[in-house]
Amino acid sequence: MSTVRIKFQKTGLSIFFSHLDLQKVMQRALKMSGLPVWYSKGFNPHIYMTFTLPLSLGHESLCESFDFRLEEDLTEQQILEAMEGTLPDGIILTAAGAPDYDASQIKYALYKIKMYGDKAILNDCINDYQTNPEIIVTKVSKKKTTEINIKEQIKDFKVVEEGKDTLTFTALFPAGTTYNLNPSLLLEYFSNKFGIDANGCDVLRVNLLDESLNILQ
Amino acid sequence: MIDNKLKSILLSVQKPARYTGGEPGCIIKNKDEVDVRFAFCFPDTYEIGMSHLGMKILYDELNKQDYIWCERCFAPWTDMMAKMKEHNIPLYTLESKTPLKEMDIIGFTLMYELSYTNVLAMLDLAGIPFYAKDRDESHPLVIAGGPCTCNAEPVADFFDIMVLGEGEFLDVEVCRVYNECKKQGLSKLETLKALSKIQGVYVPSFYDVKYKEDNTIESVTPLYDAPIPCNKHIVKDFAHLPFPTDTVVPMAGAVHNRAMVEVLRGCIRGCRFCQAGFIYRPFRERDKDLINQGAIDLCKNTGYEEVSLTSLSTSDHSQLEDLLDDMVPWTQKEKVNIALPSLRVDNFSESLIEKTTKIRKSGLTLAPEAGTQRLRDIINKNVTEEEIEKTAKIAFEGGYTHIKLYFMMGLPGETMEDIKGIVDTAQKIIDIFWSMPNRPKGKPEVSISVATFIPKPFTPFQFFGQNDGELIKEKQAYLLECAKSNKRIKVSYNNPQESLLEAVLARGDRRLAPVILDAYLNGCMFDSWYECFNYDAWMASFEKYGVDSRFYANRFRPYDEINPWDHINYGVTKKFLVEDYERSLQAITSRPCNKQCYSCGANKLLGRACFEYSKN
Ligand code: B12
Ligand code: SF4
Repeated sequence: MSTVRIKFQKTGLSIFFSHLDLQKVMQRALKMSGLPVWYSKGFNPHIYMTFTLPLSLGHESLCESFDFRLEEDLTEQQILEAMEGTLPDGIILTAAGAPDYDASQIKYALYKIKMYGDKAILNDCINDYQTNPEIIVTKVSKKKTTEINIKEQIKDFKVVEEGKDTLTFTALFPAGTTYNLNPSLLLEYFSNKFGIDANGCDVLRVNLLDESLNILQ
Repeated sequence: MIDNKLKSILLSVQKPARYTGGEPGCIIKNKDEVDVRFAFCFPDTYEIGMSHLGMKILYDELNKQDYIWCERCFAPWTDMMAKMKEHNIPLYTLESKTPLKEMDIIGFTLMYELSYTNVLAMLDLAGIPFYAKDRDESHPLVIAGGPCTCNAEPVADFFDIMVLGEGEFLDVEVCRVYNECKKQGLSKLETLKALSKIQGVYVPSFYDVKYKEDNTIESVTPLYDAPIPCNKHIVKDFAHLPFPTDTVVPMAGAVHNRAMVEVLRGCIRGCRFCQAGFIYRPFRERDKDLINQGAIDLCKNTGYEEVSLTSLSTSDHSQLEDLLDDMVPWTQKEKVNIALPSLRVDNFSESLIEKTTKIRKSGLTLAPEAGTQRLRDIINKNVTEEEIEKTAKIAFEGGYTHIKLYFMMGLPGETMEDIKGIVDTAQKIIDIFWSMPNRPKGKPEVSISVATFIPKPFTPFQFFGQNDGELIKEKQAYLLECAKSNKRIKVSYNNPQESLLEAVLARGDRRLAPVILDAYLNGCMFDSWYECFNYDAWMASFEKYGVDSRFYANRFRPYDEINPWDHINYGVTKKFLVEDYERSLQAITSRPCNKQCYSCGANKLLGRACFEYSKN
């Protein structure tokens, strides 16, 4: 038995799958692939599967992954070939192999975010972010609602591209098994203050980084 | 394909994956390489529609033709519908996101009367005129199929054609003829005339309906040589009819998300309340090897972990045990669960339960339908008390502790004794549990679910007047009273107002079209959804058009009255329905078709006897 990590991109139409949908998609894909997947023993055998880091509905990503177990060792090519044609539009497998890092190592995620709208308004957003010492947002979790200053948590905020009516920036947001900061919180802050369409922004998770900001591959 | 405006909307509604398509198995073609673009529309949510086997069958069949591209479309839930209206986004197909207006043919499936307003909502969102008479060659042809077309007179004015009976082959034939007409540049009227020549095609505008003073029908006159009666279409050689082995796999939780193989069509039982039991006649079985091989392929192609052997009465398949013997080895190896959804109480054997529960155990459902033997005889549900008890015993021995029982109330000949009988039946089952030395651990639970009986066309009870709301409420209250003392019995029943509407629409005529449209315009949609059903709005629309719901629902219909569906032929004759209704009045049962033929007429569709009686 061996544990395999599949890396994939979640783009295009597949951004509308929730995390729960995605789990089902992958489960069915493994089943369809005919791979000798290991099932838990017991009354109701199921495929053992863990996702490295959940992604929000509506976000694209180039660096998703999940682990599962195979009953026999197979090459990357054998696995990827077997999985062909089993996935919905927009989910693209990029690699399969032994897990290379532990999910607990993840501390940051690099996001690339494209905003659409009137140029002046987009500039207001950026100015506000850069000049304001504090960006206070309300974070709603299952247990409680808290006010947090996200500015002190976000790193390396950079404008990388400016179009006629678009503006793209990148930034590192805390991520990992213990704490996550959803970049949508920043977009909602812009939306509340300047009226941009937060849902209309393109949010792309580019890669994951560890504590010393090394990219986890 | 999805721009930022649509994306933003999708992210603001519940379950956006319903509206995006792109599932494995969905078919993408080049629009420039096809002649006929067909949108298969299901007038309910994605989750319900993606559980519909009929859609999978026709999608597969149409897309096998190079010149046709069949895409899917479902009713957007109310939140999405509101957003689409607000932002002027026309209803689009899931595969290519093409507005419905640009399609050649829009085919609705009418499975359930309470989805009629959703048809109008979908046309509205698509920007297509409601009434067939208001559409010309520049609009798509709007057609309907599915069980409700046996009497879809209330919505007949909205459709250009209706397909009666089974869609296989017929759907392709409709597209072929349509395409010929389109190439020749024929007018809509000429196209409809050509289509009306196909057996199973009903062109509502080719039948002129006249009413009497008392609102009953005076006459139905065919125009342009349209056939009268208009016959339904069936697949004679169902035994060897292939079925799709690669289907779209829905990603956002369908209600029935599993592989489905239809093992037989029709039903031999003749339960007098069941419309499906009559309109899907004659009974035909699929070949067991075809089923087995197809099931293997289907599971492999779709990755499903459950395969359901569906039909109206799966345990009546004469080779079921052999089929299960063939299926058990591979399903166990592949960790696929076999589900038998329509087991009957009377031939529910121990070996059957063993085969289906080898992998997983869940609750068990049984449908005695009525609480006393006398009433079960009236409705021809040929199940005895002993059989129910025996089944419960087998189920408990098999480890089940929860049994769900389905009943109806408001049946012909019903008394309060019969209502009490419902609770007595449940109590009996609980007593059996406690009396068993080898009972499973835990406590038993019996849920009884009681639906209001709705008389439907083409059944022997089509003449019967539905119990009115007051009487049903009285019976429901009495039922609760009877069940009060036992905590292990859980009672649920449906809303009698919803049942009234369903009864009106089921046996309605064309005078209802403006009422339905008015109800839609006043916000009625998703009428079968508890959170959307608006009885008062419906009643206001009835009143506005001077239509009395009781005329359709609660009145006994004399045998010689012309029913709105009498010019349509589903095989079973009115003569037979009258005879069978008469038998019911005397509590005389009818035997299953494989034991005795009552000459209902359905065999004429086959062109031979339904069964070889010498074999039995
Ligand atoms: C699977 C199923 C469901 C699933 C999936 C939804 C669905 N409607 O299929 C679920 C569980 C969600 C469901 C829910 C309900 N169901 Co249901 N369901 C069935 C079942 C078991 C199978 C349907 C099926 O796939 N049949 C097999 C296919 C091949 O037949 P078909 O659908 O008739 O399609 C053929 C033709 O009609 C035709 N055709 C159909 N559509 C079209 C369209 C075009 C354009 C063309 C050309 C041809 C065409 O071609 C097809 C191939 O031959 C049937 C019973 C049965 N065995 O038929 C009940 C049945 C359809 N359901 C029924 C009911 C009452 C309901 C519910 C109201 C239950 C409830 N109280 O909530 C809801 C309503 C939901 C809805 N809006 O439809 C009744 C409908 C009776 C009626 N008209 O009054 C039936 C007949 C069961 C019965 N015995 O009473 N159901
Ligand atoms: S013709 Fe006879 S056997 Fe065939 S469906 Fe009718 S009653 Fe049953």
